[in-house]
Amino acid sequence: MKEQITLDRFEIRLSGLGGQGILTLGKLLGHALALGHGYQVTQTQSYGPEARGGSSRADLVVSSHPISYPKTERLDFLVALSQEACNSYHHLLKKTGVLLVDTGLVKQTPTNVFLGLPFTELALERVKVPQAMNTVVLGAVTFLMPFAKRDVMRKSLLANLPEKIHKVNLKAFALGYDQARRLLAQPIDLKNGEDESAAKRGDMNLTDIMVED
Amino acid sequence: MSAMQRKKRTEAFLLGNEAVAEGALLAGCSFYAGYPITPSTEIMEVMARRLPHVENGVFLQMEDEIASAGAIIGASLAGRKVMTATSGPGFSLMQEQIGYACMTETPLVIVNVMRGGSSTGLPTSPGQGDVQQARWGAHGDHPIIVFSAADVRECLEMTITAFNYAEKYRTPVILLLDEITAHTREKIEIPRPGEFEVLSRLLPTMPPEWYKPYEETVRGVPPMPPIGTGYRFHVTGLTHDPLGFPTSRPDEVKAVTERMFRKIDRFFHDIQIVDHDQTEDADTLVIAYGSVARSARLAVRQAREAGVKAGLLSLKTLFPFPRPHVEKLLRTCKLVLVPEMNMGQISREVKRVNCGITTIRTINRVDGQIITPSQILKEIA
Repeated sequence: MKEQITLDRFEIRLSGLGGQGILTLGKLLGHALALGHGYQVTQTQSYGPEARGGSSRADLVVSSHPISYPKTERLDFLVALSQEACNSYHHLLKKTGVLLVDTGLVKQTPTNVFLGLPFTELALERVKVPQAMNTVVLGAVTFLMPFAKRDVMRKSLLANLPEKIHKVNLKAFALGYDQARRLLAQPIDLKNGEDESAAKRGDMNLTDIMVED
Repeated sequence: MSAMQRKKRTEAFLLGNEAVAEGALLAGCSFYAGYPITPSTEIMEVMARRLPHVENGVFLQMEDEIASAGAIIGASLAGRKVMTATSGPGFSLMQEQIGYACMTETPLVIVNVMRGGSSTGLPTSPGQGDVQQARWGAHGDHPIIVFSAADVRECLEMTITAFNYAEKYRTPVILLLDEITAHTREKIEIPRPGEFEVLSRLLPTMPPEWYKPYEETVRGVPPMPPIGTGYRFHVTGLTHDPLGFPTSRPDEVKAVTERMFRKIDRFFHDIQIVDHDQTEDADTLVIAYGSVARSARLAVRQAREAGVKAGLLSLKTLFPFPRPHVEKLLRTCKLVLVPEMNMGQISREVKRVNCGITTIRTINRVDGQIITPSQILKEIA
């Protein structure tokens, strides 16, 4: 059982293409972390005017303290579900940040240090519903985030989705979680991130925390 | 359900837009007419779902924004608390009706979720370009109240305040949000009825035959009966006499115009709402509103950690411009920064108040992106 962990601005970006269900994924994740886990969460989004195909992203800031700036600046966790998203946002990751990609859609990662699962393929072949891809991702993300609890995520899933698609999404969620546990082995280690912020506090240099966007 | 459970407030994970709709319903809004437009559409969606379950609730999808504003004016005159929401292009269309509502002293709330660019601009990106339009968009001299909100909780609170002030002062109230505030989801506690003040318009207490619709009163706000309750009712956009009929007699015109201003002017202290964050000992001040105020809050915190005495004055009331609050801080701060997602619309007001007291520096961003904390921090340091 995972314990309640104190967080100071854990920044997540979920990115990909319009139509992949990124915004729904962001809402589900935010809902669970804010109401079920009791964290402060801001979830923002950015998308093009197209209904499908354009770039789409959802940003979450999770913290144990009140959040001032609602958008992300330096990512702790980047989920990239398209090559373009991976290319565009990779540089925003912290040194200790974790990159998770859809290995079917992201052919070239800008670094060797990344985690990956073939989410779209899993949804298509194992769940038989390509639209459930975002829930497979939610399962994997739940395993990877050391402060996310599986049963709370499931509840958020049920609370936010219409009843007729509950069953298929629970299946997709379980698949994502199990695949991550089997293939990605262990949740993200938060210790490195803490070290970095401790160093920042000790020797404060304003230019260190300024980020060009 | 036990008494304890019933007392508990509901927690929800809401968009700024959804919180606006919740606030409107809590304030007693029972009539909404609108035309959907990104990024304000969620307000309309929630009202469409919820109003049919409110007693006598009416939701109308209109053919355009001109009709939307017209419909809410009519419903307000009939005694309802009313709202519509739109974005820049729709707000421009509403201006004529907003002027009419000012002239006829009709209480209403209009939410404008600002997007980037002028004209159709950037529908899904943030901007703050409608600030001066909200104040001066309608033609002619007129007083108006303009509020803004920075986060989801403020969206709910400022919507309730907007309804209260519209009713209290018989005036249109504009609530300006930007795309970021409107589309940020956060956890909020929804207050229960009775936990906050709800004001309604002043009703006449005299017999109908004595009633004069636009007569002078102590507060300058004439009582307002709903149409059809036996009181004389004549509404016109023409300058009118105390009975509500057109007049061009200079003494009557002067009297009604001055009263319209006085009813707002005399209560500046009540209407001008600001938030102070570490301003007591600040020598560098940031003045911000909307989502930019949140960026500024982080920038100020980081500057303090690095030993700079920074402070933040966030404006919830944009107009009437909170001059007394700003003026006081201009005298104590060496540098004042005004970050905005436009080419400088509130900084004009700050400069107007400043008159050379201190240094004002603007930070402007018009590329459809939010002003980041580091962008502000760079100017503070």
